[in-house]
Amino acid sequence: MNIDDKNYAHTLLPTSAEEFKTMLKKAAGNTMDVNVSDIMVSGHKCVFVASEGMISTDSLSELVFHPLMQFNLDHKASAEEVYTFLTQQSLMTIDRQELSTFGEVFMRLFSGFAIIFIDGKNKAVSLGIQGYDKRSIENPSSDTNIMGGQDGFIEALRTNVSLVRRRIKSPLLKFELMQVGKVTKTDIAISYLSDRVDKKIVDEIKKRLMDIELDTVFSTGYLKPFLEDKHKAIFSSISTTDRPDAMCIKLNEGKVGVLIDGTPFALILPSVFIEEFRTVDDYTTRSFYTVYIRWIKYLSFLLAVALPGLYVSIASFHPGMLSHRLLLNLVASQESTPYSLTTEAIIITIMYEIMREAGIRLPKAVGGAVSIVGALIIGDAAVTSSLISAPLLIIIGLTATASFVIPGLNQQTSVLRLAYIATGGLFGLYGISILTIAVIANTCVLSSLTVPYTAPISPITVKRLTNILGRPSFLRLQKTKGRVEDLTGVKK
Amino acid sequence: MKKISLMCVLILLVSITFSGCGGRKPDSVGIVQAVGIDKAEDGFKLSLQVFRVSSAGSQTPIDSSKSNVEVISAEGKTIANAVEMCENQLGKKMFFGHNQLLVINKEVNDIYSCLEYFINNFDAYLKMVVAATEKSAKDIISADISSGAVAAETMKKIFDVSKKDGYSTDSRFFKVVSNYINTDGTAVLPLIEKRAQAISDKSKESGEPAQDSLEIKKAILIKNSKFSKTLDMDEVFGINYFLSEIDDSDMIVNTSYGKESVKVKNVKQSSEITEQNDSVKLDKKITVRITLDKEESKDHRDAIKSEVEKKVKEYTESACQKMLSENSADVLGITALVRQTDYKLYKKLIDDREEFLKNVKTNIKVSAVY
Amino acid sequence: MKISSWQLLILLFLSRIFITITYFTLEDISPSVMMSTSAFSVAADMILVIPTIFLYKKYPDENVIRSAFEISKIFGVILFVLYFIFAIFMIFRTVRFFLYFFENAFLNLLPTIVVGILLIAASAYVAHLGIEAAARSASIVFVSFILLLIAVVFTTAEDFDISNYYVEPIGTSDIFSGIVNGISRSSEMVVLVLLLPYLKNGIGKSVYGFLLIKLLFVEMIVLLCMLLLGGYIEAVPFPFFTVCSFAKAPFVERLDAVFLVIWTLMGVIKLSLFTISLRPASVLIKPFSSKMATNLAPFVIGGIPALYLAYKEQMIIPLLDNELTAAAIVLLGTVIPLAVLILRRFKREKN
Repeated sequence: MNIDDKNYAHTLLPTSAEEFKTMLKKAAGNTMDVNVSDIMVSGHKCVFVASEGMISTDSLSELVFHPLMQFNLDHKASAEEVYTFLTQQSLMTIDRQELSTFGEVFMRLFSGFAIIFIDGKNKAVSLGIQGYDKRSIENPSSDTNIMGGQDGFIEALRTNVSLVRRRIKSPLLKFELMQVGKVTKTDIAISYLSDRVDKKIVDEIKKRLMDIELDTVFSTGYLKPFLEDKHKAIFSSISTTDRPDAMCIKLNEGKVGVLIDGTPFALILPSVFIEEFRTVDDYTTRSFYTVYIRWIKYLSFLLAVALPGLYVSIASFHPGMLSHRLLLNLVASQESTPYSLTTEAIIITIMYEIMREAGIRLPKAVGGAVSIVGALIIGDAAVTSSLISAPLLIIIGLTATASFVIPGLNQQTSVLRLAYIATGGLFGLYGISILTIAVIANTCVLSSLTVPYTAPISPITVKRLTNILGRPSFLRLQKTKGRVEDLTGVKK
Repeated sequence: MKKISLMCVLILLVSITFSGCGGRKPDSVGIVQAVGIDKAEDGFKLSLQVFRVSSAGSQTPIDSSKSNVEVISAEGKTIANAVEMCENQLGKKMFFGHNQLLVINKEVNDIYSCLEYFINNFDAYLKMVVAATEKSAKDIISADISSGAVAAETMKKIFDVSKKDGYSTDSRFFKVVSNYINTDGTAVLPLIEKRAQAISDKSKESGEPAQDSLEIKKAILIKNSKFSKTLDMDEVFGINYFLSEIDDSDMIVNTSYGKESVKVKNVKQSSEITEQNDSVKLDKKITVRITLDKEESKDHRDAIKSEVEKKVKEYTESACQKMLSENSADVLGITALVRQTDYKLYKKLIDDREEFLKNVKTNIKVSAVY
Repeated sequence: MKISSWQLLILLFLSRIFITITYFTLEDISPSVMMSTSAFSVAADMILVIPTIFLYKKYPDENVIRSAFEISKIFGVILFVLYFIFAIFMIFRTVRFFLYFFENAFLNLLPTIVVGILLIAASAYVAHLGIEAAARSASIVFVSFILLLIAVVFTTAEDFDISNYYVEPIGTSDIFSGIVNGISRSSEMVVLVLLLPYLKNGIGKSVYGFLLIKLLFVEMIVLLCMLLLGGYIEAVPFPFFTVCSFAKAPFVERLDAVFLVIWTLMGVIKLSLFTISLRPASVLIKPFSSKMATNLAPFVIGGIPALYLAYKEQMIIPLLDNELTAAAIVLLGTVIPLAVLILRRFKREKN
């Protein structure tokens, strides 16, 4: 039978071990990481295939070879008997699959499974003895909390699944596995609580994932555009998290989580705007403090996006709005600077973005030096030499700090900030109002799988308003169970 | 289509960016702190106190010990014309959004023209104080008052305190214009004077220049858009007590126990208008609160109370007599009261406002409480 | 996409209050007369809106144009053209009015053409996004407006002068002109007729709720201006704007520029509604079935003359108190829905 890299996925396995080996080697090419060995099991020829560095050698000898040798000692068996032993009788590994095509063989092989092909049987058996190196569970990198759990997702899908499963010990929690990416065949696990989720949402997500025609899927960013509704939006209606506890909270609300093998970030959908301001810490602190911090976050978001633009527009076009003394100080500070406020603001903002990007990319050893240089250049030298004014520096500093309060919206705040500075500097508060209505309209029209992105603010859902203003007490949470349909008003 | 729209957006962005629209700086406008209007041969002489920072540098704050202002003057047929001349002198557009004070010289004929410029200028600060002066308005706004970032800040504070103490009527711009329009051109403005203070020997030795001070000792009545009679302090107190504007005023009372200084404050007032022949009768009840520095006996307190009531009644009756009977000037809000009570009567009476005001009968009752 | 009754109420409210908070002229009438006649104007609106309500109850998924198509295609086309022309005219008037205010209140701030272009572009964008975007954005703008109003009231309360309030007796001519003025400013009554297919339910709630809230806010705003400004109100063309420049918030010395922001947001939503309301019916008429035709064309045809007039500093037609406008609104908002209702019933009986 002919096999090549175009038809291997659907090519059925042959009956002969020799043919199997030939076809396997032809499909895989001369790749050095596929190890093919002939073994005899109870006098019967078999082919053992494994990917180098993917399987655990301890598990291999203990769970596979030892039982096989035991079986071998007893008597000479037929192909069928060997197959039955491998698939039903032995206690080798829990994860055993019967494979009938080369596509399935390669899927399993490169996922760390060992493959045993029995001569005379046109099926193979995969044994789950993965032992590839993976990162140990560490603190989540992007979403830090004080009182919440300190373990975060890692790149291995199955570990991530176990992190979620450990927290929700209910049979209602379901994981559905599928592969996305024609070449990479990346494992994706769709998770949900079956008694809370709207089945239509799950079906829609599965359909959208299956319709993806990409060759490669390496991270969440590859899937997001396909899962979002068709609209060129500023904000994303899908949230990401690297915290298992955060994901469990969202699953409990009837949302769907999508775990992707190879990335420590999970996708949660449908998501609404207000959830970017919610953290696990909200549920570990007193409710009055939660309310306080929540409003600090809202304020931080507004400051991060609009403060420099508002400052530039008010100071340039509407000086009457500033208090008398503030205006005089401002004018005094602007007296000697060469550029307009708009230009200064754009310069400092771009310098800040350069510093920030450098801080992310640089090795840790050099990072400290970058912050010192940044502080010196921007902070001290630029102000002393009257290149920029001190009030503006304070504004940008405050803005930069505020933008770190909501890391999930960092992309949007960075770009919108610049847009606000440009429109505020060119057209004053009028320009800001035009930009604001465009942003609001763009955001309001966004939906996440029929859930309006701006819910429950607009359209107002009174039941969920307390969750915007703060957090309901746990006594109340006992009585009310959050559901996605609370945001849409449509009962499941 | 997508490429075309992208090109359009890019062209728009480039053209806007390079058009220089975004080149505004806060210091590109002249921030006017105080305005003085004098009479000129052919129109008005306008003087503007404009902020000019005395110390520069982006890290240097304003030096409060220095003047931080410059006064520029120009003449014009109209206020707008004069403002334009000032802008030409300074090379900046004038911004009146933080203008604290408007001083008008007594010699100016057309007061409404002075006010009209600021009514039509939407930037104008509506709570700026409007005052008059017998001497030069330019002199007033050039006064060397060194405390505060700019002199106008201190000037405004002087007026605020005066108003609170009853030495000045409420002469905020919007109030003056509102009364002006309601009463066909009547208002009361504080009369402000400048006085150079004597400097101490120590200051003379160190070479410090004499500092100026401003004081409000009188007020001036505007009638039919022209400056009219000067009012003394008693009359001003009378108006303020009548309008319940006294917040914290010192009063000297003579009792059998001697001269006393007490604090008096308006707390309540009520007015009742009844039609009487071709005019009205106004029954006014004023309640004031007295605050003493120390505890006194009951008889002593009663004596003070009765003196305060007598004095407040004197002030208010005198104000009514002077304003209504002698000058037919409605600075006491009579027309507004009539309008509120009986619109038909109001319509009838404003046809001959002067006669109506002359014939108003007032009956004032004052009660003082502790 | 359907909107709730509350969302419709807010859309109509913002369209109306956009006019009230800027330009209620007191050169011809006193604030007292305005307060008194507003009640009569709203009462008249409550009657004039009855045919629209009946039309919705009878045919909930259709607006008046679609209903007209059911009677006859030609009739439908004629009605569509009428409403299309009305949309163009109202866009022209609203843009010109907006620019007139901007030129006067914010002198030398920006070139008028730039202001106009930005306004038209933003409105066209919101219209392009559809009723969802407009309705949800309107909720947010509404909340902002309420906050502004609260800030204005609280920060100016100490300067209220009760003696500025008075009640002026009104006669029949005052009532009549008040009703006419009120109707001439109520273009949203025509927009309502066209927006019906978007409504989920509860037309009575939304329309009568809107009228009552409109009355409440108009009275409140006029009263606020009256108590604060007194005689000053006669000297200024934009009383509420003047009140905002008087008001002070903790970090902000005056609220007039904040007013400008919120007013602009309202203006964009109001303008976008004119073309959004045409969408449900436009799909029936081939030349207008594309989004470009119904979205962009009215803005271009209505906006460009407005920009030109602004550039030339000319006001060809009176802005608001126009009897012709009132007649057009009554025709399109009451007479035509009533006629369609009757004709459709007649056709049904005939069949």
